[in-house]
Amino acid sequence: MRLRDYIIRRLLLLIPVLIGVSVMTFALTRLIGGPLGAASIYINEKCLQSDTCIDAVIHKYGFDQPIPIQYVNYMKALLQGDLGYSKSAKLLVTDAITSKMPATFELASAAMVIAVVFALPLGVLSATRRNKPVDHATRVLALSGVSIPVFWLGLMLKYLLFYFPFIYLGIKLLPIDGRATSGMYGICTSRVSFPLCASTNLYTVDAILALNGTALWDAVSHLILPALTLAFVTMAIIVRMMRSSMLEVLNQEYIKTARSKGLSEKVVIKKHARRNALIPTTTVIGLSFGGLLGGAVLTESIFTWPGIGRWSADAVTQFDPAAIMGFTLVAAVVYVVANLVVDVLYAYLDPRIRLGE
Amino acid sequence: MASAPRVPGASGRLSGLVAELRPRWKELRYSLHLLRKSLLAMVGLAIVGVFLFLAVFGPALAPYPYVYNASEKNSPPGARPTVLRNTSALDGEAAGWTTPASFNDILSTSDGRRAMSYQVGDTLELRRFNLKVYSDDVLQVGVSIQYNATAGSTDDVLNVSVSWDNGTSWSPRIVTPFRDVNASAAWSFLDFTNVTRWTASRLDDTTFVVRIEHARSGSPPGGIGVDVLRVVVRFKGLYHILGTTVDGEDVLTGVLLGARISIRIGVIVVFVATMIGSILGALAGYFGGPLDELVMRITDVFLSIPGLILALAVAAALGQPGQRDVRPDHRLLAALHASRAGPGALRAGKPVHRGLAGDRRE
Repeated sequence: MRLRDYIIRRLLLLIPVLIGVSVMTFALTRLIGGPLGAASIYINEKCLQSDTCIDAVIHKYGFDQPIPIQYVNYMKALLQGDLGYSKSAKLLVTDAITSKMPATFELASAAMVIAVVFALPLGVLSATRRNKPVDHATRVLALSGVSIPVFWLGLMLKYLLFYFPFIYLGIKLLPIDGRATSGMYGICTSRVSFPLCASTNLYTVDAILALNGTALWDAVSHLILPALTLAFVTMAIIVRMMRSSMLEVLNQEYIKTARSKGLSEKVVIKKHARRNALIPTTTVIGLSFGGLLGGAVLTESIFTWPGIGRWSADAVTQFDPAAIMGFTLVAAVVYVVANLVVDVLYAYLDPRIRLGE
Repeated sequence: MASAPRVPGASGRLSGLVAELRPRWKELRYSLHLLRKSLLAMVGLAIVGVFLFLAVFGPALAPYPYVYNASEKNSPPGARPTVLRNTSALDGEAAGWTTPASFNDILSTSDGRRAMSYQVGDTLELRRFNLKVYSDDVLQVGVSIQYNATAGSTDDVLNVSVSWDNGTSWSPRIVTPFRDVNASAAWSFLDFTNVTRWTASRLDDTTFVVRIEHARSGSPPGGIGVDVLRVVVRFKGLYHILGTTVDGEDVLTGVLLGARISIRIGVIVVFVATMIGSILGALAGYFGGPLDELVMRITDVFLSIPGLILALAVAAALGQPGQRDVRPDHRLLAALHASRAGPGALRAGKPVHRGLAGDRRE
């Protein structure tokens, strides 16, 4: 009962946060883009030649009104589900978000799974074999993951796993752009059919549901390189967190107690130390996942992954106000929800924490 | 004397303060001692120190000024790019040749305007090639020439020689093979690389001279015209430890000068963020309740906006044509970063002050 109330309260608090975010972003896009920037999606090449035409369009759509009034109009439209038109995606912003979110979600989940699977055992190993070669190797790996710029890693993976084998060995090892081979995936109708029919828009899930091996490999092979790039960076953060919290836990009195009870080292590590060390690590994992869901701009741009991150970079460079507003709101929702999930998980993992008191 | 009664009180308060500070001072000394003992901390401190040093003395350490040098673009790290110069004369002296009004106009392109000679023994000395050679590691010096003779007298011959000390000593004459201008390979390239030990000073405007002689006339005798004459010099450019960019800027210089900007932004960001964050955090922690809630929601707003996108948006919008053409200056960038970093300081500051306020909620 209390947990449910807490979650409802936090979700209600989402509203003021979203209003704040929208006010800030709206003011920013209107102030630096000016009326012309806001009206640019309605102005074609021919109209751009004459000032009177530009002024007429600006007046018609109300971009010459004071910014607070424009904001109120924007919010009215937003409440009716109208976020405007994105000229960079050539779609309505709502359609762009729903079509690009699955791509980002798929990439973020794949990266997170890889990162967690490698990071947790490495962190435990590194802490239990402190100052041994394994520990040093892990720390170097983690440090390099935190220090290496993600775009550089992405480009190197592209070079080593696509360009190099293709040029020197003549084999196409892994694809480097997009989510699937073109023509492989699409919305099936009575007249058009694709090898893989869209239903969830998560290509790997759709392929598994359709029991289509070729399509599954196609989707997975496209996913490998961008997911590895993101996973390496995330893994480094998790390994460092896991190692340090594991070391802290191993110094606690109850570990001493467990050992003096005569428990085997394996049980002490697994049951007593690892479980408690996982609590702070969960926070890091949750927040990293939230960050990835908000769009991995650099990775998605390098691998031309059609997700939120790449769209946002396009929108910003082409100055697309409606899109900037749209994905900022999405990122804010994702951020707040990720925080909420982490807080709830935290309370679940650590019974000493009482939520909402 | 009037202030005398206040002295004991003030010193009493002062001694009280000192007494209060003493245990803290002791703790600080112990912490510093621990820091000094830690090898890792010292190595980290050294790295930070090196970065600060590089940033502060960057302009003095930078090997070259951060300028665009188109001839040295795309150099790989640790290499000296090969620079190619291909120029024609700005000045000259004609003996017997029809004097062109501007040597550069006539001899730089294959446009039909040419220097003409009708007598054997006519000489033409060309100077001021504006080669701008700045390295003594000269790989090649040559003269690229295109000439033709009056139709039918194909035996006309030009001799070309070069001087590296303004006409005192001359290279052996090289006989230019005649080629019809209309033929596909009308260019002759005369190589002077091995006639002397070339240095930068032997190739500058005051020393380097090219001389053309009308050496032999064919039968029937006729005119001979030089359409194009250009000097081609290849030399090793400057040494770039980290290579150069597509625009020919030295990367090491860029890093050294860029570090200053980064550090300036970093200092401003941390300062502003700490000031705002700790004050807001203290207020929120001390008063709690609605103020706490308000401050934390504002924090959420700032943390929710993707930082990279925000920075890109401002940079893109400020650099847009048609808008105010302003580059985002450091203060603006710092303000953006501070808006991101502030909440961190706030969250860090809050629990401390909550502890002071006796609030045990977190």
